[in-house]
Amino acid sequence: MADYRVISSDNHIYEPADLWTSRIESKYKDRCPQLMPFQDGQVWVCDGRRGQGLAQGTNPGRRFEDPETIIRLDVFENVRPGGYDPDEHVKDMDIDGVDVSIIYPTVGLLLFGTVPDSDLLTAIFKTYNDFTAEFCNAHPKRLKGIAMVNIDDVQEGISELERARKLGFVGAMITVYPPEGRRYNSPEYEPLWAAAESLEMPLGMHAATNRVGSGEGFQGPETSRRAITANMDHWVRMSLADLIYSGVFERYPKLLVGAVEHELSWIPHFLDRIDFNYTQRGIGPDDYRFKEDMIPSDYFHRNVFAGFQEDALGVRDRHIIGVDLLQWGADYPHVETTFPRSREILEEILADCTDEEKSKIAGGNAARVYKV
Amino acid sequence: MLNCYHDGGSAAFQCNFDMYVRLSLTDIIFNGVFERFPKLRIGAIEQQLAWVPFFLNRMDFNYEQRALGMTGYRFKNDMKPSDIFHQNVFLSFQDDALGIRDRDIIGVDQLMWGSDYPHQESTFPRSREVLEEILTGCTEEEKAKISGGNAAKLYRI
Repeated sequence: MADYRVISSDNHIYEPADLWTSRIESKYKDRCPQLMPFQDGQVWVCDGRRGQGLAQGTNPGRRFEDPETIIRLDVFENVRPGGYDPDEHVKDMDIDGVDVSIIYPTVGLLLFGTVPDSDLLTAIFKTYNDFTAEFCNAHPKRLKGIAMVNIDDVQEGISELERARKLGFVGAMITVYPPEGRRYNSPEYEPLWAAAESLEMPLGMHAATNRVGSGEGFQGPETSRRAITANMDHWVRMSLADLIYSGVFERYPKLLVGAVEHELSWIPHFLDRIDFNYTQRGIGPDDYRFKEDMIPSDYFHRNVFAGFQEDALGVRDRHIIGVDLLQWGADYPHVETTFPRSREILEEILADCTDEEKSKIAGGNAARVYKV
Repeated sequence: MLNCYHDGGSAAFQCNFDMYVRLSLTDIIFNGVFERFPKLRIGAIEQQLAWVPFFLNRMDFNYEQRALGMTGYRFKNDMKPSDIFHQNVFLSFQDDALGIRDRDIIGVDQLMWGSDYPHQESTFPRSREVLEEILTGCTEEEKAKISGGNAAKLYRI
């Protein structure tokens, strides 16, 4: 086996059953995320709305053994302990051959799209950040946290970003697509980009984190949900195109934004389209033009990174996408995780890469972005 | 839900247009429409091609390997979403080098070149020259299919 450092750029906490009820400020006790009985299992309920079941914590490895055994409805006691216990998380990393985990939430992810009350969402995220800072501090060299930040109120979001920096988080996640009526090309977000750049906090846009409004349909009825899930890259493409076309990366040249768990092979077509629209279609009077003959794909290569698990076409196209952008992740302990076969799968998916490319994709690129 | 033109930023929409045809095709495929109407043909017109390989990968992955995919509509005869795509969907394009490179993944029988005359993006008056150029790596049989044979068969002309 090749000798390179492996960093999972996308591991997850599975939030303890009492994370919010035991810690959140008392006025939100009844409205914060908590487990309720549902049919033969449990579901998370937040502010009167039923959310996800326990499947994203109880099924790691089943896709390799027998996908037909993937259980949708389950109870908390079957969640893999590595989801909420840092010692167990690190033990599973050792089994899986992972040196460092970049930690995202699980229950928290879908709250962007299901909690319209912005003050409640901010309180939920702060409580999550307090817990996750402790979780990571149990093994500070192995576990590196990504803070959850609500930017409905941009100034409030910046305050939490600053607090997260002090708590030891290596980056923050923001909604992949803002709420109805707002877009990332708007000047209202300008102070956020400035703060993220000066705090050196990369901003991750994880799949399934659309704010309430456009794109929340992936949580809709089953007949349409699969269609949305298979097309989820649309929202991160929209947000990245808005950031690029409005010149954000020209004004904040060191700002780093990640497309997390969106896989890779949408990128070559996206780059082709963003350049074609910039260079070969009519230019409107309000269209931003870049300095120094830069084209949209140049900013993508400089300011964007892309997390994935196993995307053979994306790895094949790594020279179009940019080898330095690619960050592999295990997605532990979710249904789709490569655990416990991450090393084997890495060797397989990176078989055609040079040793230098392997070490970048498996860990080096994440190490550079998160300074770990 | 997807009608977001009101607040400007149309450039971002233009380079991400394929979302709409992808959503429609997934709604049709995942709900079994092509199984019930096996000779129905639906085309993605002027959407270019290079989004298709990723799209096929995502449809099959969501159908086969995700918990939520296991409980929805299931196809007969072990068909996968991409099999149905290859049978019932056709695609028009003008000039997409990445798509031509990936023609075996997309399906050579589904590709239909078009000149987009008289629009600003049209290959007119250099269509023959552009065709030769974009199909350089193709076999003679593939060239004949992509530049006309597939359209002739579909429209019976």
